[in-house]
Amino acid sequence: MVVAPQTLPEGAPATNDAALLDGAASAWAVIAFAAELPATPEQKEALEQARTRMLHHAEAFGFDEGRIRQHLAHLAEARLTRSHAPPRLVE
Amino acid sequence: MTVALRHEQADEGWRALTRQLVATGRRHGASLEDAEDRAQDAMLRLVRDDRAAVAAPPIQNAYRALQLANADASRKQSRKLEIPSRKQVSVDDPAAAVAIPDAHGDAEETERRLAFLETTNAVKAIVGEDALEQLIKLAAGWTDAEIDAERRPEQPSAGALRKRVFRAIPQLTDRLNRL
Repeated sequence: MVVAPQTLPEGAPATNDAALLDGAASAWAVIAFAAELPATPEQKEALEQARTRMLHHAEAFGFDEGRIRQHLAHLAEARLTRSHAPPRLVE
Repeated sequence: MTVALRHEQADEGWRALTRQLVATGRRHGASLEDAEDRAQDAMLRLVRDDRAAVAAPPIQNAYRALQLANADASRKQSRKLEIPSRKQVSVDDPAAAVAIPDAHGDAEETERRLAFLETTNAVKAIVGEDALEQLIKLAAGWTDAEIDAERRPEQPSAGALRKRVFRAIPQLTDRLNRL
């Protein structure tokens, strides 16, 4: 019997829940921003489809849209190191 | 001065140095036992480096030896890479190839997680890490003016951000819809 190296040890940071939630929040922020831009109807549709797909996958990991937006607010607050503006929560 | 007395004085020098190193270790939060062990390791290191030494070396050398001994100790501590027996596999086992990515108890789940992270990382790369902070702030309710006021020189302005993301929409939707 020999020891096989594991490419991903248990709880590896690369795929833990916090990393997934960070990724989902970042993607959500990008999609939400892009959706506000004057894109063509086809692009708008593709963005909506992308948003739905991303959320579908995120939900499978236990993060619904509310959780993602809540995390976004926390991320924004954490990154606001130099601002004097009070952080505000989404909804 | 007799030879015996000279040796006694030399020993006292080493002992004093050891006591200093133990005290240093204790001040840094080590238990007495650990501090003594590290001091002893440091002393052995000094003796090994200079076998002919009789007089105690300068304190700087001793501190350096203590630092190296501490580094060795933490390296040894973090080297506990024992894989549980239930996860050990034989190299001759053909199933080993698929057993390796089984990090979450389910290879499929690991694949899904990796695919999701690859996609979100790709999205970040498309818009640029420098713009991500601003996009997050905008999504959290900041205004363009606030974003521009807080902008660091290396970050795009709100206007440049709009242009950048607008141009990237086809790439973004293509990548996200492959998820």
